[in-house]
Amino acid sequence: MQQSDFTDEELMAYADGELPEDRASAMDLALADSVELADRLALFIETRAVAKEAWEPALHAPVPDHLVQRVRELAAADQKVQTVSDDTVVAFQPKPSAPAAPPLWKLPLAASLALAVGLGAGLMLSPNSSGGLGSIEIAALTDARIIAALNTVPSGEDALLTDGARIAPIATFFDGAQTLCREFEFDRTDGMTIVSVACQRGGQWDVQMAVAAAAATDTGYAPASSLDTLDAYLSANNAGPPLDPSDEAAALAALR
Amino acid sequence: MSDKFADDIIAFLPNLRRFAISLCRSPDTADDLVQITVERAFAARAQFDPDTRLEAWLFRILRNAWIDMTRRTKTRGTQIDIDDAPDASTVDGTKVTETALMLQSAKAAIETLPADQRDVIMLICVEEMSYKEAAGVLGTPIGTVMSRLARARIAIGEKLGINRDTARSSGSQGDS
Repeated sequence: MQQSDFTDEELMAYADGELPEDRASAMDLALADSVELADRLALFIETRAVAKEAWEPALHAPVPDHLVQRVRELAAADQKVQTVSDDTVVAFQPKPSAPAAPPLWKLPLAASLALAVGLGAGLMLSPNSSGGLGSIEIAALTDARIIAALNTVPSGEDALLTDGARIAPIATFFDGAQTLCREFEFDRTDGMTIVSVACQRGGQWDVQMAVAAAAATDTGYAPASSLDTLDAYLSANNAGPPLDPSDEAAALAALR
Repeated sequence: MSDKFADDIIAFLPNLRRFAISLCRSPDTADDLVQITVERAFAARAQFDPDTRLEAWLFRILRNAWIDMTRRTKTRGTQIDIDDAPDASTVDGTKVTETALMLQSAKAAIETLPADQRDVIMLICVEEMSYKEAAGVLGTPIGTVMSRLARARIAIGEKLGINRDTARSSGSQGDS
């Protein structure tokens, strides 16, 4: 075997343990015979070792805390989104001590999202009304059909309203003040999906927050990105865990 | 609750920073780059195939983020020399050995390589990825990776005086 039979790339691959076995065996034999070939090989072995060693100290430089912290924050935020099943039930966990989600006012909203504080029945159901998404109003829900749905429809099911809108309660929970709240999605007839939380105050459902997601996904549910805002709201208000179906039924029955 | 994906990323942060520093040569920019990588990794988490190596996936995200960054900010002139960085090296004046000098020169030699060659050196020789993984990170065929890598190593050898004739003897140590 002539040493010139081996290219630089083959020698390098041999040095890196990447030469196919048959060529590597041939190389073993050729190396025993040729000092020159061994010298050529040594170049590739040495440059690898030197490169690795030269950059070794950089591996031991301390990683800034904020990077580690950021990974933890993202992981915590993910854990909530992950609990969204591919069906309809959105679960969330109480976060009594770890404020991983940023406060609501710090949230960079995705361009497709508009944060609407409050959505009165007029806002949602009467596109002709003067109120638009731009108006800010904290409103009690007055539409009887939405109230009826919130009072009766179990989480995970949905109800079609006569005009083609759809309401889907997602979860029922008590907030930090032990107020009964429901998270729900509302699909307007114009295709806008609104993710909202309403809580019981003085015998009526008060809308606490609403995020309008411009386009619902194929499944008809709001995209997960809109849940970031929801998460921030839920953690800021010490939302408790979702009630299980029987507790939810009992809590809703108590409203009537 | 533990999250393996997050734990693995945290464990790999030193490697991401090292690769980032090799790309941008500024520790501050490197940290920005690593943060962007982390954000993108979580955003694209669903697309990660658990049967593949997370490390290669992260390197790919980081390198693409760097390409995006350089596209946007054409500020190559403002890079900081890596040797000014506090973590760059720890050369004690009384212990400046030939080895330390050699390693400093090696680092410098790698940094001054053309970007394509530097990247394959970092991924394969420093991060010990396979040719195939490196090809995946860089989005180039394995043949291209190998030819760049061979050229890069020959260039480093020349800069450091590890030429083909002396490589074997200097490898056996002992020369003054």
